[in-house]
Amino acid sequence: MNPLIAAMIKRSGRSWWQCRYSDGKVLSEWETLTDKVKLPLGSGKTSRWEEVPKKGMVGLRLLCPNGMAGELEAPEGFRFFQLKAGGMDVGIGFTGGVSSVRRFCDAHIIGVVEDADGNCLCRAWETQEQQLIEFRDNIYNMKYRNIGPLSLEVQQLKV
Amino acid sequence: MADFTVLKMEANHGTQAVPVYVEVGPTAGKEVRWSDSALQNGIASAAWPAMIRPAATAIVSYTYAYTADAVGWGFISGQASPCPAYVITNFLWARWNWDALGTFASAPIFTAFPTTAHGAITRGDGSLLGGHATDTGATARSYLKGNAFGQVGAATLAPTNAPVVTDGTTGSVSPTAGANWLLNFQGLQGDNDWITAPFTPAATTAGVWHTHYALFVGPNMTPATWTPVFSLKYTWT
Repeated sequence: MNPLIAAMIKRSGRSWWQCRYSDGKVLSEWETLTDKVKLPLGSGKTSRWEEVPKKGMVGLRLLCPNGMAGELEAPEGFRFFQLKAGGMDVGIGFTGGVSSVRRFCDAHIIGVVEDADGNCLCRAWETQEQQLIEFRDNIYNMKYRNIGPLSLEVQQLKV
Repeated sequence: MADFTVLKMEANHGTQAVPVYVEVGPTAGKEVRWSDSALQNGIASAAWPAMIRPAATAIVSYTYAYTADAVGWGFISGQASPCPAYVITNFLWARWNWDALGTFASAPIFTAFPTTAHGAITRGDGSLLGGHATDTGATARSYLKGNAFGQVGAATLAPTNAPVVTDGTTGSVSPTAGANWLLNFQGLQGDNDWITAPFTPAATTAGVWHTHYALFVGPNMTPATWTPVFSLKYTWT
């Protein structure tokens, strides 16, 4: 990888997806940002995974700010997915507003569906733990962080 | 990241007939408060009154939407005092509200945690969310109960059953998809007991998800200053 891009990813403090197609083309998340500057800088404005072409996709990587990368591969067939898991908190009590209520991202997940039952292999960058992990799950009821069923429509999965 | 720019919880401090929704979080300084007094509008947090632990389990009747430290009105109060006591028929209670800039990747989850650290909750430990077997059921449920509507958009009817202190189901529950609520309230107990929406909202489409909640107290609740958080756990692309 271009060392300048690698340095930007490290400095951004977040992970970025990068997909590979059967014709050799590579598409990186920062190229899909709505920002004018399409580089892995900061948190990045909206990129729309749901609008990324899935036809011909044969590889999906997670480029992490600690310099590590996780890659998943599969034959063509609309098998890859990508999502972030997090949430937001709302304070309860008489604290004048809990000072640290916030929106947060716990994990950035990529996955590939391995069979018709929905079993999948995933890799995730966990933001609090600052670690890249690998796990197996099922898109019809993701146990990881109690996510539940994935939206096949949003991910354009064909199982 | 393809997250939402606006995603917030809103409470109705208007009326059931003419709702007025105001943000109660996550912006700092905004929050939900409970009291056994109907006269707690416009009270600075430092002056918020304590409650006496009751001799028997009871609902905490008055819920307030605070938009700043000393600026708040009762839910469904019409921005007037006193705050009305909780009734199930005031079903335009609260809602999650999101903009059209993000896309949910799965169904959102509604629950509560002791703090923003989202630590594990020990069932039956006497805490507000942990509950106590004597007060909240043999399988101790949270003292904080929640309900949710089965579709995106404004709720059109009240939940069938009013909340009771023993309400709750282990793990996830979901209302039937459509214009209805959970039949019984769920205990909001972190990753032990929670509510999952029966839908993944449409991509890049603004929407609201109506929720309802109620707080109970009981003689076995551990006396403390309880400041938990509601949490909307969700995924996005």
